[in-house]
Amino acid sequence: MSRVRLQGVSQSYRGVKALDDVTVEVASQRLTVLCGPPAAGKSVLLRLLVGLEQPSEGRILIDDRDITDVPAAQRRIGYVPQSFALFPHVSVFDNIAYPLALQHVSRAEIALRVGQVAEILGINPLLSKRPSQLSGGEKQRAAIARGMLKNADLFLLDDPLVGLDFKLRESLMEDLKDMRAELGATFLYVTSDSLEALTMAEDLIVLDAGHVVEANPVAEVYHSPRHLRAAELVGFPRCNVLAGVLDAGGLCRTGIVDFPLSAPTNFVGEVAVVARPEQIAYRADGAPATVRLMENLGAECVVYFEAGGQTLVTSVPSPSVAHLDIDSPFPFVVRGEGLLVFDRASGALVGRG
Amino acid sequence: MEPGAPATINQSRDAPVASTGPWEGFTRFLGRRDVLPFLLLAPVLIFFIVWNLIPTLWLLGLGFYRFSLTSGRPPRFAGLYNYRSILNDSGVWIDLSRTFLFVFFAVVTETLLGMALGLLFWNSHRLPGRRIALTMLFSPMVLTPVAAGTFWRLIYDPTFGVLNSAIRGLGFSSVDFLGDGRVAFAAVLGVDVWMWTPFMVLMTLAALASVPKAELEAAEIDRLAWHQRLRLIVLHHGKFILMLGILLRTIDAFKTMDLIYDMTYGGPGSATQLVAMTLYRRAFEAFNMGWSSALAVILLLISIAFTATFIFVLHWRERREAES
Repeated sequence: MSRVRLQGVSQSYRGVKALDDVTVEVASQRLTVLCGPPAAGKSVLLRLLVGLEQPSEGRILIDDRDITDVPAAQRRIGYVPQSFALFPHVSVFDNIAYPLALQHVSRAEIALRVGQVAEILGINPLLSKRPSQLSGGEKQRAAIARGMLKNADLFLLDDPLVGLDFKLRESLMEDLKDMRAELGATFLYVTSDSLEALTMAEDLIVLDAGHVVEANPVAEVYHSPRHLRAAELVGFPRCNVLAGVLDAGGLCRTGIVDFPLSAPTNFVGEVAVVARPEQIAYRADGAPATVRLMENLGAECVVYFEAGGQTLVTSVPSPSVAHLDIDSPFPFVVRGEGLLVFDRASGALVGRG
Repeated sequence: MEPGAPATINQSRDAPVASTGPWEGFTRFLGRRDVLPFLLLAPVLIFFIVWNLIPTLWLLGLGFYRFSLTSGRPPRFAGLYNYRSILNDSGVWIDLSRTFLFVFFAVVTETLLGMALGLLFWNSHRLPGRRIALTMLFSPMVLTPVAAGTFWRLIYDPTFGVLNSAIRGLGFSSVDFLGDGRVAFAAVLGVDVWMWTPFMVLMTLAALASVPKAELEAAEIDRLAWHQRLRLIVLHHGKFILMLGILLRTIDAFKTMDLIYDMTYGGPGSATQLVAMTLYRRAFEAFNMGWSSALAVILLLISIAFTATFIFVLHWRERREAES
């Protein structure tokens, strides 16, 4: 068991707040992904949790035990830093094994456990090598192995797959998920990659400019975000945000699509309407638009097109747009049902179409 | 030309494309790939030849001559006579041993103290007064040795020196630091340590700056003891800079003359007579230039040996690490 709670945590550097009054919970035995844009405060939050920094304000609790003032060495947390932090003068085996050796675990058990984790991560042939003899991906896997091998219930991973090639990332994502399930531990995984967040997460915490904008199960954050920034930050391709006005009759008008809200609301005024790419379809009888950019991903094609002075994005099956090129006409329709409507000033969810 | 006719270029095939004056030929010569590198190196080469190579060769040659400025005779070629004379001179061996002792104690003390102080100042960015403390710490290093020697001679003075005043204040009798053969060597050594420990602090701080923060943090999380962190991380990453500092201090301490000249002039007796002081006295008091040149060559070879050992050890460790 390792339920983590942050209560009113703030962290300032020379008067600049990197984290501002963060109150959030990381559920026990789940894989929670902390995502957000660069400089949102993700790594700072992780450093506070691991004990490398002390918060300016607030408390940190693990299983109701206040660990705010507990030194890093006594927190029993597995940590995989963004930089590999491997000792260059000892072998990969010793790099992975030394936290266990420091805990006075027997040599036989160390060999067994290092062997197991090396097997999972595919680094068995590398154990006798020095870090300088490894590629970036191999170093990263060695660093993950070291972090994972610690006797801990809580593991913090700071963007561990950054810079790795796509194939390796895919395979390591699966390995990490399997490892979490096998250990029955709590994983808090930090990334700024929206696709990685969606692939990995059971729960998702969205951090933006030092504030938690949303913390919910991943499907809920994607389909029913409570805040405009959460909708903007989670999703690939990115969502389309249309400026609109919501009238007293519950009708939402944008320059591109007008639709009624599915449930009544008291809100009247300027709104931001979020349309996910899958809510926009390419149809011959649709509104006129012009293709600006096409990214062929194989089965799918991401099309950026211009309509009403605004650039929108959608994802369509590649064969259906194979004949299109830059500046080709791109007639489209937006499905009104499911569109999310947010208060443009506060970013709070007002309703949906 | 008829109006409306196409324009033509009135130029013969034999006409020169551009004029080639002597200046242009010269600049083209300077720009040649086989000339330009030497041209760019010329200032430093000239400096090196005039101030290093010629005096060294002169010194090397003079070492093979019997040449005394007081004899009034021209230099006489004597082969290895000066070198044999030096090797058979017990006084030189004693001075050399004393110098090695001085170098050993000075460098070890300065390195240990420098590392300790460097570690204290490391990560003390938030400490109030850090900059002032560092400036004060480094100030002895920027003093000229003669000024430092005079300064400490006054402090050590048995009659009105502040140190003896404090000793008397504690109820003890005065100590003649520079006049007593039993303590003079330690007193001069202390001044050298005072002057040059800041240099090792500087080298330690530079070495510490090269230590990756992530490795230290990983060690902190994994509960590595401080001495393990020092050995496995700090010394591993900072060893090159620290070894360079030790080498520079060793060579510099080996040449110590100015401090001795100002504080004790090698005395009392020969208690503080280091080999550089011996060289000075034989050259500029006895004016035995041939003998002094030979001794200078031997000292130069010893300094080169220090450097060669340092480079060998460094490469040997790198090779060993790469092989393992």
